[in-house]
Amino acid sequence: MTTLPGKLRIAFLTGLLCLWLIQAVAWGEEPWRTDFDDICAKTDQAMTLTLPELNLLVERCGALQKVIEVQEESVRKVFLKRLQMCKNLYAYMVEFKKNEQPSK
Amino acid sequence: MKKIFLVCTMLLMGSSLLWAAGGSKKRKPLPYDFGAVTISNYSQQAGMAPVVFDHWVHRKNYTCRVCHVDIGFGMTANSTKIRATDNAKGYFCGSCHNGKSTLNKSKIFASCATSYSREEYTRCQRCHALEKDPAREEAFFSFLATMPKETFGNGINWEKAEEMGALKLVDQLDGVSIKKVGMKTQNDFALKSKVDGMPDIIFSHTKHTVWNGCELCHPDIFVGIKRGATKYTMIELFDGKYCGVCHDKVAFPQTDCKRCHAKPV
Repeated sequence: MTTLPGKLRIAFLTGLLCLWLIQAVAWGEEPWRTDFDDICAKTDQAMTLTLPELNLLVERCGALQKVIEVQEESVRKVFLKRLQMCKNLYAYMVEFKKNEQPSK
Repeated sequence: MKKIFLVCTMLLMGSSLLWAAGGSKKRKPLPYDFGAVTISNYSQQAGMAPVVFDHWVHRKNYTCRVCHVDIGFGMTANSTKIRATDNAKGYFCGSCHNGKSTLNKSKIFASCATSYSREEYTRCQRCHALEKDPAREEAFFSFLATMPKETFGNGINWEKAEEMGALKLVDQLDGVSIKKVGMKTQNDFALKSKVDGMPDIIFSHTKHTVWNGCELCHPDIFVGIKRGATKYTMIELFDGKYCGVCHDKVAFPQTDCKRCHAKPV
């Protein structure tokens, strides 16, 4: 097996590192999107979540809304609507659970 | 039985009167046109014909949730205000119509761009076309021939089609849908009918949650989550509220009483 000369090996490794960095940026989601996925992934479990859990989700929706509001127009249009649907469901469940509590 | 027939007739007459009072005559759509939506927010400004969206073409491949929750399409025509720029960035129609995505191993054609060549304009016309297209009509009837039949709507019993395995609906889109933990199966339940002699409603909660998820219906369409919390009348339903958001427009019409009022007496 032949080995690459010193300088060529460094250039090759640098190239590999650059490729890896470019790929990481391209594949990596923006932090707000990861947050969005995490918040809205729980809609199917909304009925089983506790009141503090639901309250926290509503708060997180509110915080994320501010971040999405400063994104470009298409992102705003899609994700504000999607976020609103999650928030409405969680907020409704909060109301539902609060009203249910005294009768228990 | 006579009583049921009488109630159905009264409801039909009532809804006809409501339409008449509203001053608009609604033509019963042909099976091919049932569920078709004309979208015309920006098309004409761009020198294009409005988009005629065939619901059946999409419904045979995807759950309602994919488009109305994950992609974010509104539930009424023209409410989403889709622009070619949005599609080009991979949103709305562009989530699938991007020239890269595939369905059943076939590439899905790309949506038209903000600028287009003469050749590309032919592709634009696949959606931006108001005129009747015999090829599209033919495609519908060929599909209909393979599906379980239904008297109303577009003549297809979609629920049965899925049960029989004639349809395999896509419920997740890579890069669009959120991966969720499997939902607890929701049980179907009965709702008391308000009219004597009319069988109670069997609401297929199982099917609705699988197709729609929770957030599409609650709280925007049905405020209540507890059974019977949302009070509604058939008049409101025919007016496009509650069940009427989908039924009559896309899902089977509400004149098909037996589909919901199905609890054996």
